Amino acid sequence: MTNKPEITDENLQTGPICPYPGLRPFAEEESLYFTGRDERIKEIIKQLEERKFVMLTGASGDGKSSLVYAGVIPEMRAGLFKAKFNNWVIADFRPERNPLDNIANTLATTLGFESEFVKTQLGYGFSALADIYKSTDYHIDYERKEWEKADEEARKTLKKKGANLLILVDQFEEFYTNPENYSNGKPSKQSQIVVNTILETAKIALKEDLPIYIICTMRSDYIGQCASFPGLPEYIGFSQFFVPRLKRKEMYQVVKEPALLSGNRISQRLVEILINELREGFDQLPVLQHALNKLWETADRGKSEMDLIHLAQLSGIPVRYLPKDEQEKFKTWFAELPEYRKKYFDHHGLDKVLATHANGLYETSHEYFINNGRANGIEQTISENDSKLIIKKVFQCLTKIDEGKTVRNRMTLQEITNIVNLPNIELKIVQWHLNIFREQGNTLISPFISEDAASSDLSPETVLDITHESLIRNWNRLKDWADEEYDNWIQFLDFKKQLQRWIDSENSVDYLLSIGPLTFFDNWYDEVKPNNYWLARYDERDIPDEDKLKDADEILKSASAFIEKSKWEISKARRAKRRIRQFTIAAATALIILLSGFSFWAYNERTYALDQTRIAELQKEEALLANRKAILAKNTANKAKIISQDSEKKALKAQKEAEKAKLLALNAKQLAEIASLRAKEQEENAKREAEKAEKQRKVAEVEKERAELAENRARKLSLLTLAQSLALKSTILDENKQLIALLAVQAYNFNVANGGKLNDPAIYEALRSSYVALHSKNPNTLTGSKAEPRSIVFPGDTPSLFSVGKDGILNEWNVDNLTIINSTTFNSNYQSSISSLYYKPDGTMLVTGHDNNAICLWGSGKDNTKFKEIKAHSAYIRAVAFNTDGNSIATAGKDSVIIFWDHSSDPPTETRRIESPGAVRSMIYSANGKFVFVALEKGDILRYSISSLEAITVYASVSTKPLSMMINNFQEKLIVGFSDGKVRIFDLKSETFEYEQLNSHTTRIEFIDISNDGKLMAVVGSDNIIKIYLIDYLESKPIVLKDHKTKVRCMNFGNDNKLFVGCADNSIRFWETEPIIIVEKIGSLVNRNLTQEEWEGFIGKNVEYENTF
Amino acid sequence: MENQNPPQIRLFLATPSDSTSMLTEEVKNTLLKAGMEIVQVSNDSDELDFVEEVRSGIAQVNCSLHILGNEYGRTLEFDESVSYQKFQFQEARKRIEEGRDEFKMFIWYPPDTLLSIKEDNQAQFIDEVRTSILNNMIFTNADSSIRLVNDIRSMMTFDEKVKFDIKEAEVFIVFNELDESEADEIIDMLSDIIDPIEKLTIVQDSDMDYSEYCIQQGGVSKLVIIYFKNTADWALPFTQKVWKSAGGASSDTSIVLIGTDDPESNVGKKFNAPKVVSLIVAGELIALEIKVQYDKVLEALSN
Repeated sequence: MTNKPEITDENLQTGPICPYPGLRPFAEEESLYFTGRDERIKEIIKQLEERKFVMLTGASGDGKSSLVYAGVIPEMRAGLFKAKFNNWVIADFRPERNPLDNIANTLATTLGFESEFVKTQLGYGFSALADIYKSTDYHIDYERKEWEKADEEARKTLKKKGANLLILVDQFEEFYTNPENYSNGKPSKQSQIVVNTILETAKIALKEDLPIYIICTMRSDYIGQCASFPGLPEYIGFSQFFVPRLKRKEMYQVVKEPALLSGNRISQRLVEILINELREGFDQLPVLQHALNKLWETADRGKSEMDLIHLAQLSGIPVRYLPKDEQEKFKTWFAELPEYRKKYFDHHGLDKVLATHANGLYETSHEYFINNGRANGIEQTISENDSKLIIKKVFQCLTKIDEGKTVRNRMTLQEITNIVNLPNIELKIVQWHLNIFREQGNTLISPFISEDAASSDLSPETVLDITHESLIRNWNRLKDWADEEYDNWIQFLDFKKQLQRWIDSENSVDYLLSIGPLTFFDNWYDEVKPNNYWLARYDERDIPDEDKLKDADEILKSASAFIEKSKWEISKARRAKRRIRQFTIAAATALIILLSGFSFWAYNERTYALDQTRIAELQKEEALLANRKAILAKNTANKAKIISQDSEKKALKAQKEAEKAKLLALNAKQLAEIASLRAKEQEENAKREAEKAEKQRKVAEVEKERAELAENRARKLSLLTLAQSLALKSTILDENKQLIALLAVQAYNFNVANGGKLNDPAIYEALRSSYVALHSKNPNTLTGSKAEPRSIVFPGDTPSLFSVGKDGILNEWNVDNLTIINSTTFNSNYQSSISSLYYKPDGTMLVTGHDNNAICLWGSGKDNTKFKEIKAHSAYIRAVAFNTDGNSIATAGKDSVIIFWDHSSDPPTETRRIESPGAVRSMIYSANGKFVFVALEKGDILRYSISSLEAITVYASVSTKPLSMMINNFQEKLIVGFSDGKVRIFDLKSETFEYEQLNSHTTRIEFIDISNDGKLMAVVGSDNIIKIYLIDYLESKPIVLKDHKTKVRCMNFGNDNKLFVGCADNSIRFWETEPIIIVEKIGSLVNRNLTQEEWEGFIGKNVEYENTF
Repeated sequence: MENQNPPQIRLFLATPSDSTSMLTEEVKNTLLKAGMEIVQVSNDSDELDFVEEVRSGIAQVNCSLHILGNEYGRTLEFDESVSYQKFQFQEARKRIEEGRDEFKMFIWYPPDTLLSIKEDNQAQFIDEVRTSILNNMIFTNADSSIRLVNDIRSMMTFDEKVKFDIKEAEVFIVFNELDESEADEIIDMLSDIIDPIEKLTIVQDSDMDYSEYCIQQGGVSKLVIIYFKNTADWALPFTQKVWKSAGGASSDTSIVLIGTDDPESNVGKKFNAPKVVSLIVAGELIALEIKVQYDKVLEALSN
């Protein structure tokens, strides 16, 4: 039912509420707005109903806690869980650092016992928990006499008291992440007790059918560590639920439904962008919820519809994503922002919203402290730098590095304050610095401030925590702080190693710090100011905190002593150095004096020594000389020996040569005899050569002639090339029109005189463009039609051109003076609009297809009363073919029916009908009228016999489609233009319809026509380019026409081979296709020839001048 | 698990421009492998045929997919400002604007396209698409065809709700079995003056989807009453669940959550929300209060 009246509660608070919790998980009271997980909730409930235990695992940020608190638990309470009792008692806890205490406390509160009692009982493990439950009024023992004796009312009363028990262990991974619970791969005693109790309780509940249910939530990256608890892996295998990522449909629910439920508004385009901008990864849901929370706030706290501009104002998307009008609004808003906020808009993204928010709080924290701290009795003045330092230290306390990852670290306010270690900074001051992060709407640190003013205050034992690790992953400043803290700890460990060495060496001076390390650590110490609390924080031993502090004190004392001692030693060393320096200077002076006296004595001695040395050298030289002489004599003797050896060798050589000469002489005689024989041969050869020479002379003469011919040919080629060059120049030069025309004509002359192609495209284009340029108005355009010409014909009996358009007007044109002679409306009496037009090529009949699927025949169209109507097709016609016998036409179209008509009667008589295998695209009769060629829409071409109606496949298409057809009567060929831009020419004489292919266009072929003399073929593509080929030289380059720049609607060659096209701008363009005619026309407009100077400049001195005209 | 037998998805796959033809072919194969039926118009068709085929294609499907490329592509002859892509988009959007059914449009904006848009008019078209999204239009930048097809399948799968045998009623009263006797008395008193009254007893170990039943029965009843005496802990979350499932502030169903002031713990057990009236009254006045609320409804209806 719709339109039901709304009943309202007068006490209902008005004003929109925010349905998005932000970074924190959904609480049970927020289940109303927890959406997108309905199916998962049902699956978890089903599993829990059957197995009484579920380990809920998933990646960080996938919403495990929310799923339980805001999904499963409300369903349970609403009676949508099959259990024994209506009521539920829920004992939920986190392991934290004291899992046994925590479970005991929650059970005690829930079941109404003293904590100590419960803790003691649980300490025994196994059935302890189940026994505690059974001892309460929540449990009904159906075998007890009390139940058996009770009547129906009493039983009802008992049942009203009964309650199912749900035990929820949230953040199960804290059994591994807290060193108190788990170290060196071993769980602590407390952890073992708690896990054992939980598992045993689950088993007992299943076995005895007790209404006790257990849910654990745990990050899936800790699954491996579960093996350290006996029985746990098996139970996880028995009942685990892996929380999947949200599908897109579920994302829509998460974003849109809370808004709808709470009466807020959110635009669809914002929803799409939000979902698209979410990155895959750990933090999808927290980042999204946080962004939605901020969006609501930015949209005037729900009073406006949440839209793209609000996301842009949070730096969630760049400005260019906004509609234009909103970009201006954004710019105005942006201009008024404080400077520190503007820099946050350098980067955009949904993940940046969180960082922008956190940075904003950081920047305004000092102001918040001053305003709120003062209002709460804090008088102390703190500088902005100190405020920021406090916040930095707070966050450094609330994070830690665990196996290379930055994770949360829960700490009490007192612990944090102790570590902050700034002068006069007490608990309250630290509290009022971090309260800004606890406010509603911020909720980056828990516990959060509620509407209750007292919640602003924190006790020293309050445990603080970062709401979600997504803050760490997405706020770079926090990551940097955590890294810095980690570096500090590593530095301290390094320092501690050195300290320990010194201590172990009984404070030996050899192990003190040298100047470099001392400077480093001293500066580090001054900056970080580690205190005992800071040290104790990193002490992972399982000892009381007081002992850790005591040890830390000792370490710091030793550290201080170490540094001081190092400093002392270094300064001592410096003093010692100074003394040594002084002594050195005095000693040096004495030495100098001594050395001076010594130097003089040494000088005298030296002089004497030098003289002696000189004498010794002289003697040495004499000895060397004598030695040399001896060596020389020895060498001479050796040389003589060598010479005599040489002579002997030479004598032997001479002997050998003599023998050789004798042999040579013998040879020479033989050779002479051979030479004589050869001489005779050569004489004969000479004769032959003479004959050859004569022949070659003759050949040379022939070659000379050939060379001359080649030279002529080269000359011709050169002139043809020149013609091409002239043609090109004439199209690109910006000279006077007469000159350009002369160059074009001269190019033509060279081309013709030297055997160039008649239809050379470059020459043609040069002539055409220069002719058009010479005219004051466009000489080849017919304008004046009110509609696009859809068909053009040249009736043989008149020189006029007829065009007809869908407006039903037939225009008769004078082509010479480019005007309309006559306009006739031929279809004013017919009721349906024209959808297609077909003019018989000889202009004697006009056929129109109409929206009502009828066909009308108009005679020549000039007389608008003479028409015949055909209503035989059930869909619009696509093709009409005119037979050469003058009486028959064929029609075909979308209804896959081809009908042949005798139109001499009124009404026209159907003579034949064919059901074609598909809708018909185009159709044409053969030259002899015995066949009709049909191109089907699906791509095949068939030939039907008119007499037998039998069909033969001319072409079976695979992928391309025939669009336009023409018969070349001269060569008996069927020419077809295809959608792939190719023209295929089928030989109709061949039984197998072989074809040759012309790659004419890169776009689909729209029209094809053949000139009346059969020499030219024009092809138009959907790119509007017209190409004219010589039919006998299809391999040659065609003439290309593209100056019309508008869609071609129809095409036809005129009787004089001019090409006419009807255009989408309602005009008809035409072109001469015979270059000689263009030349003649140019001749009538040009009144001179090229000058000598122009000739030499454009053509060259080596070509003899001639008149162009 | 979601519905194992989703309805057959018939999808109109928009003819691509040259720049997206390969991607479209890849997506088409993935769609076919995912069991979807594809309707697509050939690019080679004559323009008149193309227009007609697009229109008839869109009329016979339950969703469409349009892939945005970096080129504007071929334009219509009769309106060169409209590309083939844009024309198909506009035709599909018309069907959404008609609002006759749950037809959905998926517009895929592949991540690479953003980096390489070649033409201003294509950039403009994409901006227009992005800023004019309606309900049932899904604008996605999925990073692969697999993810895209998964999204389509999930968006086109509707949960089959159980159809209950419901009857039109003046008042529909829901209560827990533990409050059955009191509730029956109240119904007895009311049945003399209000007829017909439909009732639902919530039994703890039943398999029935009570929430869905309440929505369906509530839809054909003038007033929905959720009553409690000893079961406030059940009544409040149950009311919240029904309100949420019915659509919350945007639903048509008005609910009265009414409980007795005995036991005292019931005082304060209220649910403040639009379309909900929460009342705690003396037990003997429950029937009267229900009558008062019913009369308000009748008065509002007659106005």
